[in-house]
Amino acid sequence: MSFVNIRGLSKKFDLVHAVKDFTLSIEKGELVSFLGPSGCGKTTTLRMIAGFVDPTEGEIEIDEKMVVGQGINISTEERNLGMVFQSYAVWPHMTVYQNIAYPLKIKKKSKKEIKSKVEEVVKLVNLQDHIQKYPDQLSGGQQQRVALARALIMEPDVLLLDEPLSNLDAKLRDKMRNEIKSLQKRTGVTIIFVTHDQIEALSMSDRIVVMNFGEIQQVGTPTEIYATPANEFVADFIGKANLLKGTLQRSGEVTIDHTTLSIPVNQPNAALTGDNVTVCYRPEQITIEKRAETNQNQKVGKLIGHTYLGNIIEYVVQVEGVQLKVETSQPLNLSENAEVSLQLPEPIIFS
Amino acid sequence: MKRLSKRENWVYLVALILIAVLIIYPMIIIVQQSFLSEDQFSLQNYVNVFQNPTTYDILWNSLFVSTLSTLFALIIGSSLAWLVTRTDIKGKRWINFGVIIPFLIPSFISALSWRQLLGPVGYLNKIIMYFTNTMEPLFSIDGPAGIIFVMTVSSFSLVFMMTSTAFLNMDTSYEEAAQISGATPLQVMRDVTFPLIRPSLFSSAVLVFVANISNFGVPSILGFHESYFVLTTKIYDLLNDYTIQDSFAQASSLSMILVVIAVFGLWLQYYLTNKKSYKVISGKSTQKMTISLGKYRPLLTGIVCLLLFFISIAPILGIFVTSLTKAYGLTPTLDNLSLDNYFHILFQMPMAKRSLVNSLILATSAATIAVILGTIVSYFITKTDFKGRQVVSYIVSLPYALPGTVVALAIILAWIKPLPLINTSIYNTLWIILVAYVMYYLTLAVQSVSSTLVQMDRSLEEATRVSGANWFQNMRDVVLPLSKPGIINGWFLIFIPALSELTISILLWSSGNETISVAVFNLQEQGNMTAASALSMVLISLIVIGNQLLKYLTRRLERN
Repeated sequence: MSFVNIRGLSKKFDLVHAVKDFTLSIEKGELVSFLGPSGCGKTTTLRMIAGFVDPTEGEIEIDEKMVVGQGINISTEERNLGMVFQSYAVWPHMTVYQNIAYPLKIKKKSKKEIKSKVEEVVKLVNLQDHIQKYPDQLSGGQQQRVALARALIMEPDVLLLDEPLSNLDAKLRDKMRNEIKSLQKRTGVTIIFVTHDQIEALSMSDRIVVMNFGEIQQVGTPTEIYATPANEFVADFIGKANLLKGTLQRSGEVTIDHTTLSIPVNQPNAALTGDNVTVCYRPEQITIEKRAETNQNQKVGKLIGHTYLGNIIEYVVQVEGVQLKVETSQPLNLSENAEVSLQLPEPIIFS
Repeated sequence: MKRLSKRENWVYLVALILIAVLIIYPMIIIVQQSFLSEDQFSLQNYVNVFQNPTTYDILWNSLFVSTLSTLFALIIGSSLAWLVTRTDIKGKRWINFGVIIPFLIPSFISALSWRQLLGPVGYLNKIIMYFTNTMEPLFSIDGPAGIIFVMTVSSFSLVFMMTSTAFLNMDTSYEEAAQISGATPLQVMRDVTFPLIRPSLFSSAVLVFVANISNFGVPSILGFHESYFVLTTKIYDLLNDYTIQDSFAQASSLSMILVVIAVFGLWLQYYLTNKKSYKVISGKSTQKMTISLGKYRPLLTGIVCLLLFFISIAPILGIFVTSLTKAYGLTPTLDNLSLDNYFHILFQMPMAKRSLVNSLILATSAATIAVILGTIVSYFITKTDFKGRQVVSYIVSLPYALPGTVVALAIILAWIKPLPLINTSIYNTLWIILVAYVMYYLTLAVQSVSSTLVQMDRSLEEATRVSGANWFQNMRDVVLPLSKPGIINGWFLIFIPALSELTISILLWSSGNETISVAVFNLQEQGNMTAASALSMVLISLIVIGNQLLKYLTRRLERN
C-alpha cells in the first residue's frame, strides 16, 4: 500500500466545484507536484491534505492512518505535516531560532534536544550565521529557508510546499529548486509540491499531477507528461504546442480544417477514423531549413515572423493556411516572406 | 480556518452572550419602554411627546444649533485643510498643532473655558466694563449663539483631518488637467477640486452633525442659565425631575427621536463611503502641485495663526488663569495667584479626590475589558467563516453611533432591576458606569484590533497549526503578539475619552461615584469656578499625557 492515499476527494464551495473526484497514491520519499493554472483546484487539494479545508467527499490516508474521511477528521496540528507557504509565513515577532524551534517547543521537547535539533536543520538549509536574526533582516531566499527548516524539524510524514518559489527572483528560484531536490534526496521526505510553473514541475518532480477545472488531467513522470500528453490541455499547458484541428481520414491522413493541409499518420488509431481530432507538434521537434529540393516528408512554408530569444529563435511559418511555431538554435538569416522547408515529426493525436 | 474544535467555539459563544447582554438587551429595553404606558403597550408616550408644543421647540433648537455649527465647522475645517495641504502657507506645523488642541479638549471643558472668557462675568466683559466704566456686561455667550460657537470650535478639527486626508490623497493631475484646459484657479476649484472632495466633505458633515446633536456638555453649560433646551439636555432634565410621574417613558420616547436621527446618519455615512465617487480620491500622485498664495501669503498666514491662537490657546489660558486665582472674578494680578486650588482638589475636597480615582479606575478597567472582549470579537469577525459574523460588527458599532444620552438611558432601564442570584442592583454604583463604558466603547477596540488582524496573512496562523499548535497556543504564540499594535492602540482609544466622558456619566453617577467630568460639571453648577478650572486642568494634563504615551508606544512598536 502506498504511503499517501487520496480517494475520491471532492470540494464544493458555495458556487464552485473546486476539486472533483481526486484520486492519487503517493509513495514514500516521492516528490509529486500538482501543476495547473490558477483556480484549477491544486491549492484546495493541498489545503485539504493539510486540514485547512474540509473535503465535501472522499478520504485521505497517510502512513496507513486515516486522516480525513469515514467520519474521521484529524485536526491540522495532529497530522504531523510540514508546510512551506507561498508567503513563507515566517513569524515576524520571532527570531530565526524561535521560528525553527517552535514545532518542537509545542511538543514540549527538552531545551537541549531542541537546541541540537535546530542546529542540525539549520546546517541542512545553510542558515548557521543567521539564527539570532529577525525575519525582516533576512532576504526572501533566506526567509524561505527558515520556513523550510521549520517544516523539516519535526520530521514530518509529508512536506507540503505551496508555490514556495513564486516570490523569488529567477536566479534564486533556480538555486532553490536544486536545494529542495537535494534535500529530498538527503532526508528521504515525501513531498507534495503545488505550482503553476511547468519548468519547476518538470525539473523537480518524480511525478506530476496536471490539473484543470478541479479535475486530474494526467498523472505521470515529467518525460511522460511532455512526450505523451494525455489531452490537448496538457499539451498546451506544458511546453509549447502547435495544435491543429482536423479530421482523421480512412486513408490514415489528418486533413486540417479550412485548409488544404493534410498530415500523414504512421499508426492511425482506427477507432478515431472519421472523427474530429487535434494534431499536436512541439515547436522544437519541427526541423526548419532554407527552401531546397522538397522530399515527400517536407512541407514548404513562408516565413512570416520571428522572435529572437537568445539561445533559440522562434519562427512563425505559414504552411498551406496554417501558422506553425518552430524553434531552432540555428539562425536561418532569411528575410520575411522567404520560403522555407519544414520537416514534420510524427504528430501526437488527440481525439 | 475551517476546522473548529469545540473549545474555541465556547470562547466565541461566551463573547457573543456578553454582547447580547451588554448591547442587544438594553437596546430592546429602551425601545420597549418607549411603547409602555402604565405597563401596557401603547403609543401614549409618543402621543404625549408629539402633542407637547415644547417638543417641537426643543427639536428645532437641536436641529438649529447642530446644523449651523456643522456648516461653520465645514467651512473653517475644509478651508484650513486646503490651505495646509495645497498652498505654500507658512507655519504648517503650528497650524496642525493649533487644530489638534481643540480636538483633544473635551467639548464641555471648552464650553466652560469660553464661558470664563465671554460669559456675563467673563474676562472680556470685565475688561470692557473696566475701560468703559459700565456696570452691566456688554454681551453673554449663554444661549444658542454661544452653543453654536463652541460646537463649531470643538468640531472643526474633525473636518480638517478628514478633508486634509482627501486633499492629500487626491491626484493633483486632475486639477492640472483643468488648468491646462484653460480654467482659472477659481474655476478649477469649482469644477474639479470641490466635486472631488465632496464625498469626504459630506461624510465629515454627517459625523459632525450627529456628534453635535448628541452633545450634552456644551448645551447644558451654555443653555441651562437661559433655559435653552436641546434634546439631550431635555432628556437629562426629565430624568432629574422627580415631579413628573412617567419621566422615564417620556425620556425614552424623546430619545427615540435622537435614535432615528443617529441611525439615519449612520446609514448616510455608510451609503456615502460605499458610493463609487469615493474611489476617485484614492489615486496616487507622485508630485503634488502647490498653489502659491503670492502677495496674500503673509496676510493669510497671519489671519490663520491669529484665529487658531484665539480658538485653541485662549480658552486654555482662560481656564488656567482661573485655576490659579484665589476667587473667581478677582483680577488675575500676581497677588491673587496661587496653587491653592490644585492643593484643594487634590488633597482636601473629597468629591474631587474621589472623582480622579473613580475615573482612572473606570477608564482603565473599561479599556481593559473592552480590549479583551474586542479582541475575541475581532478574531471572530475577521478570521472565522461563521455565517452572519458581519452582523456582530454592526451590533457592536451601534452604541457608539448613538448619542451617549440614549445609551445611558438604555443602561439605566436595563440594569436598574436587581440582578438575579446576587439580588442587588448595580444602579447607583460605579459598576453601572463601567458597564455603560464597555458597551459604548467596545467598537473602538474591535475596529482597532480588526485592522491589524485583517493585515495578518492567514498563512501565519496555518503555519502555527501545521507546527502542531492548537487554537489556544496559536492565539498565545502568534495572533496576540502580532496584534499587539492594534490592542495597545485600541486600549488608549478607549482609555483617553473614557477619562473625560460626561454625557453618559452625568446620567449614571451617584454620590460617591462621581467621575472627573461629573465633578467638574457639578462644581461649575455650584459656581465654584476656581475648583472646576483646576480639576479641568488636571483632566487636560491627563489627556495630554495619555496621547503622548500612545504616540510614544506606537512609534516604538513601529520601529520593531
